[in-house]
Amino acid sequence: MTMHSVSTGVEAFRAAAREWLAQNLARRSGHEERSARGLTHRTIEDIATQRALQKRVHEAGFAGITWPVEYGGQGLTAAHEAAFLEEAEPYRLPDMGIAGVVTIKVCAEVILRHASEDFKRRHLPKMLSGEEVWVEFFSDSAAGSDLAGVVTTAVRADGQGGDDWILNGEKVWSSGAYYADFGLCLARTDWDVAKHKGLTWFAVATAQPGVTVEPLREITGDIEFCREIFQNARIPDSERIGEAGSGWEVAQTALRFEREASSGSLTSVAKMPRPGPLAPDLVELAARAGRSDDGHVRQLIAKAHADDFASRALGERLARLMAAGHPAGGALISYVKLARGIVEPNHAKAAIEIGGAAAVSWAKDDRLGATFALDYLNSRVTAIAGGTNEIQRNTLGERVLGLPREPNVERNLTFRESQRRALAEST
Amino acid sequence: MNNTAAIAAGWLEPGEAEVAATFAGLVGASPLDRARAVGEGRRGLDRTFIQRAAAAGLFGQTIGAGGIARACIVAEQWGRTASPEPWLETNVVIEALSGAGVFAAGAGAGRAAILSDLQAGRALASWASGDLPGFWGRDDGVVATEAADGFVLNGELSAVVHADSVDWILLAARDAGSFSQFLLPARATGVSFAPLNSLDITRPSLNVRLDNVRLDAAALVGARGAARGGAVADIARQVQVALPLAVSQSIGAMRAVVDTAVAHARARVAFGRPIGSFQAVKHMLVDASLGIEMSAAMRDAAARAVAAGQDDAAEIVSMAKAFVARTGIDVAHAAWQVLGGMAYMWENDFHLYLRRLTADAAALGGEVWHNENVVTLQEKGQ
Repeated sequence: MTMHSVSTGVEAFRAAAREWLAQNLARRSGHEERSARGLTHRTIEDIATQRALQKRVHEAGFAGITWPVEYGGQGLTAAHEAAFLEEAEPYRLPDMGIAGVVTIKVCAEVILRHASEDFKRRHLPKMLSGEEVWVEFFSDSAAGSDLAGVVTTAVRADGQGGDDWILNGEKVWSSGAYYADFGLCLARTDWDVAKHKGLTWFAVATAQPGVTVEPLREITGDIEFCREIFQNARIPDSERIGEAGSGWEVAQTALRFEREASSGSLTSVAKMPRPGPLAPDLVELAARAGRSDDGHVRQLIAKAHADDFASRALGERLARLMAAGHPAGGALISYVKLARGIVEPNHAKAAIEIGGAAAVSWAKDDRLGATFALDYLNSRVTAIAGGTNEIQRNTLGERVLGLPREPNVERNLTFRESQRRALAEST
Repeated sequence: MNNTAAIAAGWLEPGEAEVAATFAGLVGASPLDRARAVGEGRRGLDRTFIQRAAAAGLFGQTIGAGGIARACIVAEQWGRTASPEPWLETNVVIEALSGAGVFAAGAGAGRAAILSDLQAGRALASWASGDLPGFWGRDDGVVATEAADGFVLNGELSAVVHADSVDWILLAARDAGSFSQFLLPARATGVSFAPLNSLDITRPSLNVRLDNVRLDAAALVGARGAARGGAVADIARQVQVALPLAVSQSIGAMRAVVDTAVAHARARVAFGRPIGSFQAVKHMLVDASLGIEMSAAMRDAAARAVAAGQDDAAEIVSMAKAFVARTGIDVAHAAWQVLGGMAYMWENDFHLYLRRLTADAAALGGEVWHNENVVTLQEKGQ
């Protein structure tokens, strides 16, 4: 593997990157096929090609540019990374879909902060080289927004030898799990302590005995996320991340990076955006419907355009406030997620109102027409995934506005007892 | 309530904190007294206060490109205290009088004295912004005709803020096949006022009638008629400066009502809990605070676009105005709902802000006008 020395200046590194990129990667074509938010089905073969490409990027020394050398990184500065990304802009970088992003932006961040030294050396280099693709095994079928309420359970395999764990339960909405190698799994390891105290994280290999991954068809018709069923899956204790019972603290890291992966990191959006062209999808739909001069339609288009710009400008503003030391700190990022969680569904509804029949039916060979429907069906992804709008509102209300929390009906109860009471109330 | 959140609610950026402290010293312990006095018809504009504000660097600034960011911070303070003074209007007139090329084209010493009086708060100005040729409202309200040593103006200006309490009114009139701007002495012969009843009682507005008002040549502001782009180009520049400031005043008012509603939601107990712990209330307040931050983000972008002379500045200021017009009313209504019956009492300050935010939305082109302007600018390629 090529190693770029720390003493390599940014410009020398940039020059090396430029040369390597030109010789090894394909350029983006002018009109890339648009896939709404990247949530399209990826074949195993396609992912294998991307893994091979990622391996070459890693071997050339352009993956994990800022990561420590002992974990397969280059140990260079953020300026080196920025230089590489600028040079790479015209090229097609390896793309392993959402799982590829989650591997680096969420799972690796959690591992870097909470896993054992041995675990980090074992997994992180393979995550960088495309050998290990990771996904989130966060939500249970019965626990999504209330993540700490997961009932997927791991117990010590005491008496059966070693310090392994036995995992049972069901996870769902894990994007790209059907082509992934590991899931970062939140499990309950103690039912007889308070809800937030009995949780532990594990790395679960998708191919191991006792783990079944079922791809699910989404409302778009695509197959992208999955359900996993664990039946007495045996997990070595060396695959535990963080102390047993410390799962909720670790979860804070996971949720923070998940939010950033979906909303953009506030530190990476510190540039003032420009409005750019008027909402191109809405303008096209207005033209198709013959309503480009309709005053009401023009109002809808302008409103969607302003809302979109406002949600982008908000990222720049909040990054500035955080850098200036705003006391709410990272909680501010929930504003960006909430803004998009409101603006995107409104945009989608405006598209239907503007386009009318043209928005809901299209010719079989009309690929652009199909994307309008796909965008519509995907329009509540931000509002729901990675913490719903309502969860963001609770966070902001309590941590930024200082409003009181709801009374906690689970206080002083073990998880087992609180579950028993809730079930008794619901029947 | 946790302490971090309490700090977060009142937290200010360093540049804001300095202005807020100066402003707080200026307005004293009852910052809304002036608004109530004007609103209840007990007193006119407090000229002593205005001169103190000017001395503190908070009134009558010449803004220019470099000063717009700070002027927005100052504007938030005027809005936050529902201040009745024509701060925005006076600043726009100063901008018009001191704008590049305009001063030189105007009439020397007399103009310099007017400018200096406005900057020191010794004189006040309003801006007939209800009708702006090339923008919104009527474009034939006032007609100018050339006379021996100046102009004769006839017609009517609609809804001019504080028209009978100021010394000067900047207006646009039909002239020489296009439009020109004039600085009208409010007490000139032939000027009469028809007071209107205004929703915003803190900033009463009046229709102004001009009957054969004779102005000397020095009253002309900027280029005449169609020359050098004419008044429409000058007005365009004034609008670009005015909108970020107007929007900032609305943001200040929004912050005031949401802070009040949040404090109420923390303290008021119903059904055995502070009402702010109910999600229906909490979420409404969060959406209001999101509206404020998005408005502020738009304002930041608008101020920066104007300062840098970006080619999309006209579009961005219109987007900001449209967004804040809509959001200001939504935010006021959210606070209204949370304050409940409290908000219906005259003694509660809430209605002063509600009135202002609603009037702000309608002033300087409402949401509908600016939305259409954004689409039109885009179609024209700016």
